[in-house]
Amino acid sequence: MSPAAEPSRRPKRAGDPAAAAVSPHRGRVARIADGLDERLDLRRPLAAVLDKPLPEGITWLHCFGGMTFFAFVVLAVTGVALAFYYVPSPDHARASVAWIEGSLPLGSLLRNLHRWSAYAMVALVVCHMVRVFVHGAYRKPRELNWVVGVVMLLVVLSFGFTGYLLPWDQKAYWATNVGINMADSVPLAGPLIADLLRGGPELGAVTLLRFYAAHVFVLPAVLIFSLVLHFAMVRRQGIARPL
Amino acid sequence: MDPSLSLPKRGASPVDEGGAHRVFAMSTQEGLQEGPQTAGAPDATCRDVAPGDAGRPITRSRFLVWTAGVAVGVVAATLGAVTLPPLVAPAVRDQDAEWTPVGNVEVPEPGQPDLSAIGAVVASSFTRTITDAYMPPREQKTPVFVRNDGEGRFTVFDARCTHLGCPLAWSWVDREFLCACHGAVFDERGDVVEGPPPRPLDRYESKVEAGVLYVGRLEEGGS
Repeated sequence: MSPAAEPSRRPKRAGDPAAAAVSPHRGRVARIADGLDERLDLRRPLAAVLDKPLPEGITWLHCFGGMTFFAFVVLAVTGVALAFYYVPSPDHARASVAWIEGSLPLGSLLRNLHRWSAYAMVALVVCHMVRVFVHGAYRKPRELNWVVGVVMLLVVLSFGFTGYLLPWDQKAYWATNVGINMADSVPLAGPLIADLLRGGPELGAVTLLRFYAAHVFVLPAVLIFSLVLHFAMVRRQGIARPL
Repeated sequence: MDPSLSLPKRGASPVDEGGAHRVFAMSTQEGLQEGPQTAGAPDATCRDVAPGDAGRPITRSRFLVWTAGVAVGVVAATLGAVTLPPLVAPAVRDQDAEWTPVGNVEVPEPGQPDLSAIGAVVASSFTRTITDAYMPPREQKTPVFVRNDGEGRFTVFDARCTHLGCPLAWSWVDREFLCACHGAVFDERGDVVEGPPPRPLDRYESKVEAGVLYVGRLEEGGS
């Protein structure tokens, strides 16, 4: 077949390795990938990420950070699904949670995945921090990433604190009461902090709604922004050599 | 320990030659060389090749990339399998269809319409207890038109137009159902006389037991 008779939908560019790789032996998916790569130049930047060499001595202990991120992904997915049914109002919060648990198909699994992933995330964050601390990986030049990590620890704990109130049962109500009263005991600023958390002098409808808004809008935004910073710095600086 | 940014100096790293990451794991050097050589003839350079796999050998890095891809796929599929049923199931559940009384057939209770006249079309209603997800159960009154077909048989029409759901009015004069929204007209059997409705009036399955008319499931008109 002469080059002129070649069907025009098969991209060819002289000297382009990607185009040269288009052979009759390649599968349909591979050719779609070739076409995307030819237009958007995806493989080189992707390769720069995927083919990054690791230093020697990397062990399973280095997986805690990734596992924490995995827990976050599970929490985000199940959290979005729960948001389809949960109602952040004192009238319906308890009933909507009970309905998710009792009447929604797989609702109990959904809610418990969210709950246990939350516990797991806190535990994994602690494991990750201990690993980084023991390996001394927080030292120069990685101090800034440690600082971002500490911010994210506080965000994760805030996720737990705000999420705990949402079922609006006795345990949720009184645990939040205790937590806010602890904030109240901070010198000078305590009463103001407590009022800001409650949205007033009493724990009630406004408290539930602002905890919900923090839980599903503010904290995820802060965490995702911090995660991007965290990962970008790890990429830029590489993984610290272990002990 | 040197906590600096230095990368490992091992020469074996296939992607670190010349300091640039020129080669993607999915298209290794073998893959790039393959093109011109396999243009017409069978692959001459790679011997342990699985046919149909673009003529590339399974290297360690390709294996790991595919393993990672499969792992991500399994996780995504699992999360989808857990989250999609709760999102879809409430949307496809069956309608409530308990047998619900409309009224006495012979002698009406006080305040109820009289259904006893054969051939008459009477505006009536029934009341069901609706369980709407997590909301407390509540009573919902549904308007219907009941037509006494004689011999103890009744047709219970849904009182909404089959075009876009507007409420219908019964005209005694013309013996027709009229829709104010788009001028639809149905005759007393529920068939379309005029206007845009795509099908005859919807009707409830009905039965008479111990002198009381009951309605069940709503059925599409013309089916």
